[in-house]
Amino acid sequence: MMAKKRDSREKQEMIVFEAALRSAAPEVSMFAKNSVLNLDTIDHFKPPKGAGRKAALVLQELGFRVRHVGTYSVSGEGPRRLWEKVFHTQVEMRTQPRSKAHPDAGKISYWSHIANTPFRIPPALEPFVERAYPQLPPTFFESPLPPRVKYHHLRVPDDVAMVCRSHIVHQQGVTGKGVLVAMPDTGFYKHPFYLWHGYNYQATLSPDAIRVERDEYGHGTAEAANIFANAPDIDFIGVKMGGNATLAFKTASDLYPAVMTNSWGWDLPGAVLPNFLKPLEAAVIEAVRDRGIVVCFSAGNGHYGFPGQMPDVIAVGGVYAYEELSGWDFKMEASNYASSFDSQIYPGRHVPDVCGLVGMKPQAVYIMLPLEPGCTIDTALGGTGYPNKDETSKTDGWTVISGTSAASPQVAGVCALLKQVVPGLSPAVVKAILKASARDVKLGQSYQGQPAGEGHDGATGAGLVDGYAAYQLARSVAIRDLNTVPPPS
Amino acid sequence: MKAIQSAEITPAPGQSAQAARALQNMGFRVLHIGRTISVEGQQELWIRIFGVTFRIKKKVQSRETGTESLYYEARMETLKIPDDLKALITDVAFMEPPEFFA
Repeated sequence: MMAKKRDSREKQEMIVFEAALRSAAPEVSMFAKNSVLNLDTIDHFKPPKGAGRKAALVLQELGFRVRHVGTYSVSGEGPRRLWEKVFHTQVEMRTQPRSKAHPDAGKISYWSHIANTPFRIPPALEPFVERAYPQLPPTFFESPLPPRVKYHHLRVPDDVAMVCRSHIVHQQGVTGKGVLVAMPDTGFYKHPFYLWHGYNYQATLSPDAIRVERDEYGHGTAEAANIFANAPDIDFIGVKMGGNATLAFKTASDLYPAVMTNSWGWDLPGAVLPNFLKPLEAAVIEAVRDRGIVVCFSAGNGHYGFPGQMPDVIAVGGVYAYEELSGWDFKMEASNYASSFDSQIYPGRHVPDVCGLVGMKPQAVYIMLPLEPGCTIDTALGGTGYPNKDETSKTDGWTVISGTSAASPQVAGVCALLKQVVPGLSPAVVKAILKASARDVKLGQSYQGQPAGEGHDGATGAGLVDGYAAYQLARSVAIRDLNTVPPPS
Repeated sequence: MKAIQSAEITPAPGQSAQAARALQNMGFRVLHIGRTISVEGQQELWIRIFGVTFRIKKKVQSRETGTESLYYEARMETLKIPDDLKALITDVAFMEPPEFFA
């Protein structure tokens, strides 16, 4: 324990530095005011042959540890007191946020040269080293590109768009432009994935939530990428939930989005809706019937999902698409990770209506999605041991995950395409179009064991969403004003 | 774990604004007024005004990550709408956390 503490203290007292080598021509310095370093001029600053090695040996004799000898500088480290003694100078401890964009990610401390403090290169180093600088810590940016993993999985946006057949709709110029989609969830971290794709990805707080820039759990940030895969040009607003999910739903609904997607719920296998969920039930009905919002809910991953089982919403289940083709389409089967059931609360209501893409048991490790680095999901699923772990780092800001949480936003993305084509489509017509255009899935069974088969079936409802077929149907739907159409005689 | 409790309150028909005002005057924070009124308040306030009691419960947050969330479950047997509010509200529902279907 004592040794550990000492190590940590020593680590804190260390200075990492770069010692810049003198160039071969005495009058040339890369630090001179008018010096320009580029591909054409870099050779002018080259030190004489062997200077780096000589400088490294002197640094070592002085007590520093040399980590690398480069062409233009030597990288090393040493205790603060040694640094101050050798260079007759002083340093001070400074602190800065790890990330300016994400101030809540904590702070980092480092030793820095104090401006206008004397600094002298010792005579032994003078012939080789022109200057030496403590190195400031960089800011780490999680990559907008996902890591590579070796098992079959889908990437966003391209793979998901292709398998959902929305990429063909995008080629027709229909991308969800001008359609507002809202999503209440755990939070919406500004991952560079969203920035680099140029998505309009905004976040706001439910009135009882805090820290709009964070997604400590990681769920909302990850699942939102599924919407953009199918509708890249939507205007997206994520509503970060506090303790009251109903309030988050109402906050999103008050924005009057064209589409809402919800990847959460309660497991209600029985016939009674608990009283605490009645207000949410009312809010969902209001959103669909009074406000005309297309509301998608996940069916559940073995759950009897509510509000997914409400008749007014689009209940989204799961289908697994293999790598290989079977005829003209991908080989597909009902995901045994996704729910299907007959509601006991709403007689005659079967879940799901239609499906998105979901992996298989045990953990549905299937779609590579971005999230806040080191968040709960990143940590829980990261590490080796596929299919229970995703083989990505626990802190890299990427995870491979799915479930009906991924399927609902995929289908919501297709809904956004339809609303761009015919903005007046009612929620009921959107649902009818999705069901009429879905691809039949004939193999497999759902989590609850209901089988897939020819035509509409228990496991997948109407089948896997087909963005292009849905678009072809929707573009021909004419919204009629019932007041001007004579009633049937 | 914070001891602030959220609830959805169903107002009597046409009484939303009056109900919200009364709840606010009693010390609750009104967060949203729609078909139901979203409010939050310290547990002590709920206990004193509505006679409800709470107990800590655990719930799965997500089966995928195996994480659980803690919340206060309201024991509704003792809930009593105070006389001042009887004409304004018809029901009180305390929220439980949802599960995320990752």
